[in-house]
Amino acid sequence: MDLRQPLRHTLPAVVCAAALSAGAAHGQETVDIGVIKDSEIRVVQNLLYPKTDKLEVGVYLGWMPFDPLITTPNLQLSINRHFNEELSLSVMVGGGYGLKTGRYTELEGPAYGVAPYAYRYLASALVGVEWAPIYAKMNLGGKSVVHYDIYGAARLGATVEQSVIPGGGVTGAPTLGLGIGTRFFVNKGMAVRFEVYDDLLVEYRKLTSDWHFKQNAGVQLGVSFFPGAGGRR
Amino acid sequence: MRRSALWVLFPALSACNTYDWFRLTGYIQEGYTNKADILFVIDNSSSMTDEAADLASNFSAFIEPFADEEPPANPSLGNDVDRFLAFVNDRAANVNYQLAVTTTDVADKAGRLLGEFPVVRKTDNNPDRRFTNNLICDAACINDIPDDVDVDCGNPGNRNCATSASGSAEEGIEAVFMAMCRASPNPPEPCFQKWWPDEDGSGRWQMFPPGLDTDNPVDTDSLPPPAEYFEDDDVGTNSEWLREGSVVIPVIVSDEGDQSRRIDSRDGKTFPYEEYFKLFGHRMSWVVIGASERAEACKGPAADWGIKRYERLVYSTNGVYIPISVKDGPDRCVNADFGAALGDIGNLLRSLVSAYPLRATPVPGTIVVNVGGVDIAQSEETYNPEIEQTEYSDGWSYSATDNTVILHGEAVPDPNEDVRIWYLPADGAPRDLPF
Repeated sequence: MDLRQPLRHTLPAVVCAAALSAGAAHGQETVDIGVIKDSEIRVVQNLLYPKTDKLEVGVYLGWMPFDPLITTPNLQLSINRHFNEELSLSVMVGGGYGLKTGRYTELEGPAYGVAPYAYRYLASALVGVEWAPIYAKMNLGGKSVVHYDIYGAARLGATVEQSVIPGGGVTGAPTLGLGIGTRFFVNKGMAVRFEVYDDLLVEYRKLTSDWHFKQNAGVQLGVSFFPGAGGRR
Repeated sequence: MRRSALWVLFPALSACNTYDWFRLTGYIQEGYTNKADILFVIDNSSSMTDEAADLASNFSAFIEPFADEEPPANPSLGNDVDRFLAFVNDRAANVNYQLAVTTTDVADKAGRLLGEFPVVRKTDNNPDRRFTNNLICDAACINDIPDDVDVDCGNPGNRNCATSASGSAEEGIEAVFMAMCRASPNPPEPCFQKWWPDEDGSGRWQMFPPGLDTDNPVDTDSLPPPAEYFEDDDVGTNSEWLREGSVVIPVIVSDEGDQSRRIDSRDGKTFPYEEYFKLFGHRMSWVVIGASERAEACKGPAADWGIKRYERLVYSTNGVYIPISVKDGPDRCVNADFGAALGDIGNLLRSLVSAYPLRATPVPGTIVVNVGGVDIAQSEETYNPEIEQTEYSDGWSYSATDNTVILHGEAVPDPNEDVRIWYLPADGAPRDLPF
């Protein structure tokens, strides 16, 4: 992807803004920021860690913290087949166990004596695509440069959930998973991945004999490997 | 702080999941009661002298398992560990009972509690002796005191027997009703019903003065007064017996069927009593040691419809029905084994912990029961046409009549087991929630 055109328009503005702000802060001081050439821009966008035609295997620790009643640690495994730098086939499978939060336990206690008919996450298997339109690098404290990409994911599949109330049943729910994530490339063979996702599912609940819409939103952090790509920069 | 930030980032995610709010009972033992208020209703007609003596002889053995067991102070010692485990596992020791006795002779006793100690408590000294004293000295029609019964009323001779005038009708159900009327601080209206002797001299009772039900003109200014029965002064005369939240266990001991006055003669139904008992707000479980039509039993002269009344009450309240006389050969009948009969009643007391009244009416199909961490299946219900009642397999059942979940057979919990019941209340969220 050629990012030079947009940068040609935005970079001078950024530079000017930086200069103005510096001027406001320091009065008469001037700052020489030099001249940025096209060749230098090309260097910034040089893909040190290409993904095209590569297989990527990842493992992640996840957490679904957004439900007030059930919190779910989980483990996910992913396989990506990258067709090009932007698009890949994504398979994500995993399992976990939804735990009652303190709020749930409080509700069960003598003060309230109620139990929400909640379902806990057990496992899921999703297949879809990831689209990574952004590849960039950033400077960390002036000491190192990190290359990363940002992707969006859309996956379809199923989630297995279990009623927290005993005897409430186990249900398999069709699931649409949406997510936004990033890869921080460590070397040519490994990346650290972080993803925020929201699995949208529709599940049948045995005790009340009805269908419920539910969201399993969470975050996951892990590492992925590019077999055969080598580990040196 | 970090949690707050997440909520800001994902407000839609946190707000979208919705839940049905089930009630959870058992955590605070919401419906649990170990209070059993037991009322023995003794048929004191002259045909019952042998049975009353048997009952008295076996009463000590019946009451012994329910005696208080104190956990040992130091369970680290060998023998004390065994005692401690026995204490924990002994369901019977958890039953907090009170005993009282009256007779089926309602025309005379009208449900009054009899004896020197009208209410015998578990915590009393020698509760068995106190009760047998009440039974022998003031309730049962008895000729000779059994040798193995120690009572303080001397040689009674022929005492406490209903006269033919007052005791011609054995009104077991009415006796229980009146005992509860006398125990309640606010008796329901039917308690105050006036009664006049039946005009035809049958020994039965009617709800109106003589003559008012005929076409013959009567002088309403000179109507005969009703029989002395239950007036304002009688309210609270049994007050110590009935405790709030207790299970009431009437134990009818009679060789006749029921002949209570508020049911039409020859009618085997229990209306209106079944409605009247609900007015007191106590769960009830009936026990009858009585005439039976079972194959192994000797029915005697008891009328079918009178037996049916007792059977209906027993089986609709998960009670116990024990034939008072059983066959011993083709042409011979003997009294029931009262030791075994009282043992059955003991089992009933033990199972008190098996019934859990629910605070709200559950949506059908949403009840979940868990005992000691194990899910309990719903009982299979089988209708028994012989007794016109439903029988249950091991598991739980729901009684819509008193809005109670009842555990049966192997599902009955030990006292140290946690029982949890979930259900979706029909009237929505059970109470204000903290969010």
